[in-house]
Amino acid sequence: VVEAIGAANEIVLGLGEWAVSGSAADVLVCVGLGSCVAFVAYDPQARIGGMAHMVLPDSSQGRASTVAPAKFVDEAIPLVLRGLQTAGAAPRRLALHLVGGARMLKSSGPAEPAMNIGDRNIVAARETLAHLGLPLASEDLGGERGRTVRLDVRTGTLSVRTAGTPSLSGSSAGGQ
Amino acid sequence: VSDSVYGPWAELVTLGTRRAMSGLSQMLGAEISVVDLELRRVPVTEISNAFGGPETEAVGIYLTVSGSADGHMMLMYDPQIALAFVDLLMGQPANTTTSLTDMGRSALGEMGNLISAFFLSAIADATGLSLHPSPPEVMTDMAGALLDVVSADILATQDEAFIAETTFTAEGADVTGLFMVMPTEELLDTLVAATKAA
Repeated sequence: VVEAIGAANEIVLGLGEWAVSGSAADVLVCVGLGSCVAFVAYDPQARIGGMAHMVLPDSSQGRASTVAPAKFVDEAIPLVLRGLQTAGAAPRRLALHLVGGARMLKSSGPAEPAMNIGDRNIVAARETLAHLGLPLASEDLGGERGRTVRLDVRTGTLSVRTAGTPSLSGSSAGGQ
Repeated sequence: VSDSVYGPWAELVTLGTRRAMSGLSQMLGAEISVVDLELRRVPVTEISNAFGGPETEAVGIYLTVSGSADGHMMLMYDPQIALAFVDLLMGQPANTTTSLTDMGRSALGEMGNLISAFFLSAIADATGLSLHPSPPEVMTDMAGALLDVVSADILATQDEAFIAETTFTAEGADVTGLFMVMPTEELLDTLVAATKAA
């Protein structure tokens, strides 16, 4: 079998952005996640993937945004799941992943509301998924370093690069 | 930003930056030149593109502003240049510092203290407002991850960020740095109202 090898089409999600793709050439990416958390979902049979770059835990503690519809964890996860379903993914086949939520500020630093925002994002993401009765396939959360996460839509391969490390650690998001 | 806000904000930033750089110059015992001073209004979703893209490794010195209203200040350096600044700050020959130790972080934190204190006191003098810097946090990470700290706070209530970026160099040393001031909309309004009242 000869497959057409084209340059991967990277779809880089800014803060509060989300995307769903069933195109084999696409790679969904969140670059330089600090306290932000990426929600990743992949249907290995339909080969459809979704990702959100989530910034804040709770939509009740802020103002809704038109430019960043996925900024709140509690809204972003349902948004991506609905998008995947519309695109033809089956909810029961989805492999779900969470990446990010680092603690960027140490206790000695500025005391301000954004402190421990990474922890709060992680808690909110786990609670939202638990509420929906959806288990996680994998997670790479917390710590004190930034991360870049990529989802290859063709293969379902999820890769995470942590700040200060040169190489990529890959795993299959589809679990096939 | 309308002209009625932009004009006074630009004046305050110029004043604060001039004072901050003169303070830094005294601290380093070296002439500091401002290469570029830029005021921008960007979607908050694009804050992380500052400093050469979100995956670029950087050293960030971060402080918050509190008092009459809130805001954020961040100094960002290429990691190698941060080491060169440590040498300058500690009066050591160039290339003495080869990795960022607690001592180096503390020196960079002092630099953040000084720049923010000079910047804010200039603005306080001009507006009569009371603005205080927090203790500094010195971080090494991907630029996007460093800027998440700022973005998360601003994005809670705003879709756009107001960024004042100063690029500066120290004479006789091959170093450049980026000094960013990011007021919340509330702080911007407070500053402009105070300028008009003054």
